[in-house]
Amino acid sequence: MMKRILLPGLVLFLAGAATAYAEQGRSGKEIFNKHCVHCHAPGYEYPGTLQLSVTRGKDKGVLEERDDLNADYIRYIVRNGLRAMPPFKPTNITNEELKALADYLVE
Amino acid sequence: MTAPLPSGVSPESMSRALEKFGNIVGRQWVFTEKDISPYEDPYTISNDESEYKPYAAIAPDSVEQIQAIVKVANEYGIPLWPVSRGKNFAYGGAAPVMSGSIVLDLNRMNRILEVNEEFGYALVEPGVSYFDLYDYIQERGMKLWLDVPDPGWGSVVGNALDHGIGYTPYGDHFMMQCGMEVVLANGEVVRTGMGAMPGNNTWQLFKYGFGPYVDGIFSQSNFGIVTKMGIWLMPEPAGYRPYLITFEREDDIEEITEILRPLKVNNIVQNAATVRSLVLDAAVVSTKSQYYDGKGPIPPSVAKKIMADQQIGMWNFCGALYGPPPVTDALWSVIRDAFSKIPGAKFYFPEDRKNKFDILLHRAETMKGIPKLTEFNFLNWDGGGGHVGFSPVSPITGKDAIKQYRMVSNRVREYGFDYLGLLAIGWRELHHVVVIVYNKDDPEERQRLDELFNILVDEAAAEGYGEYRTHIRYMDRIANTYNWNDNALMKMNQTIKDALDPNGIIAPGKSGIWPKKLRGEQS
Repeated sequence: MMKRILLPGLVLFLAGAATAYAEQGRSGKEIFNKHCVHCHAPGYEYPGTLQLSVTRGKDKGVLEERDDLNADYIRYIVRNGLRAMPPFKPTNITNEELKALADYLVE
Repeated sequence: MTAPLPSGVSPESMSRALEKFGNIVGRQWVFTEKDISPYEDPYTISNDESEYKPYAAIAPDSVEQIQAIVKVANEYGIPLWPVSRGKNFAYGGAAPVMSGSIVLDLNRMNRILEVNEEFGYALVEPGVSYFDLYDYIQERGMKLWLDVPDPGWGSVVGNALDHGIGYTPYGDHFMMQCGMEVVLANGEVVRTGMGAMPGNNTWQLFKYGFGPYVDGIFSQSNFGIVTKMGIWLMPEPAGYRPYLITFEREDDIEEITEILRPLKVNNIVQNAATVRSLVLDAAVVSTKSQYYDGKGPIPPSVAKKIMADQQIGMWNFCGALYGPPPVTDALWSVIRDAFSKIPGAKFYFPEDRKNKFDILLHRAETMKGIPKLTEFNFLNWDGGGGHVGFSPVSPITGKDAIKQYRMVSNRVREYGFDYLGLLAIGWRELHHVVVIVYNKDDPEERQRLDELFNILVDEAAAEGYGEYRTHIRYMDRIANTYNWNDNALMKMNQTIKDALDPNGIIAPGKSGIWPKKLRGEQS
């Protein structure tokens, strides 16, 4: 929940200082919105959110609201899949982009 | 485990070929060993870990690179397994039929070369997803609609080549394909239809050009590598009205189908509409554990509870009306009157639905071409994660519909799975698409599924029903059911294969078509 309760001014500051970017320019947030949001946005119409809510608990359903994620674990799951989630190829999300994505989700 | 080398390829040859592939595409776009897992079948059915394993993957970003790759593949006898985006997950994902193949990953070729609003078409490369093309059109405010399959992350090119379906009036994707560019196994680049004429400006407007119409031989095949494809797009209609008609009894499927045939053949039902089973619809908006904690398929009492909770029936006809209101009003009156003959039929528009997360509200977006992944909530139904499609084709008749339903659903339930099925209404035929959801991490369940699938294929074939598409594991078996006149069709396919790809470098085993040098090993 941490990211959602930051004050607007603080969010702007952090966006400039700490937002994760891949070497080639896409931010972790942009990568999330392109590849992950279709399954992991808030709401049970998103299969990843539904799955995590069922298997981990309702407070664990929305990835962007989690504060217990580990960057190494995210990188492993993206490349190897988990339950219904298939793995993502390095041509969809490069290693640099994956690092930015994982950093975004844990920051 | 490390994938075995492909048949007839030495470690030294593979090593030299990979080095040359790296020189062509850049070493960072060659993936081996620990980096190869995203190219394996994520929902494997086989319990043999050596099956369907790619040796490596390479990712070119241009036609010229593909030409150079096939040259090297010919030199060393390396089998390539081309995938557009490799997200055809119910059918094997990016994994090859033959272990040791090198996946030719075309994801980086993701250019949208043209979208023409006046004529309604796009020209795209294989790496373009439905999400990509949708965003492109929306960002530019173009008045065009896509036709999308359920997985919005799939390739526009790949889905059409695999004879995929969607749910608008443009739901037969290969029918809407117009003009393609193909790299042949010898490296030559061919443009089909009007694209063969220098200076011509109707490549995406007229499918047939002059002479034999060859586009079809590059679909579900291993005769070439498609690098560009035209796809027709639907102009945004003047009005849109999705609807849902629910039916209470399992046996209603017979009368539903009889009513549907004239409505579809006469284009009263305009779109590629679907009649969906209870559990399929329930699985999109809920999980099994919400209703039932027993083993095996849900009992009838649970079905009744789901029907009441979710305003759905044992069968649910999801369709949409497209056009100005006077047109859609007239069409609706015909459709409503026709289905009113079935006792218990209920009629809904989106405003009639009580639940915020609802099957009609979800399908209403899909039937207007908005790409999504919501349909894959069904993978959460029983928690197992794996799924495979069994998809026999029949005429649009009540007799065939109920016969198929009983044959398949009885077997599926006998083997301990729920029946999640839909009848997709084509121009003259039904695609009976049955999704079997299973626990991909349970070897016993995978073995049970495998046994079930083989029985389903054989029993369907015995009644004259053939699958239109399948998982890599069943390509040989299903190809063998298309065996009229001493396998004349396969013999012709093999003749074409040997002529176009004498070294057998492109996708050995795709759709049951093997190159000459490997046929003996498969028989």
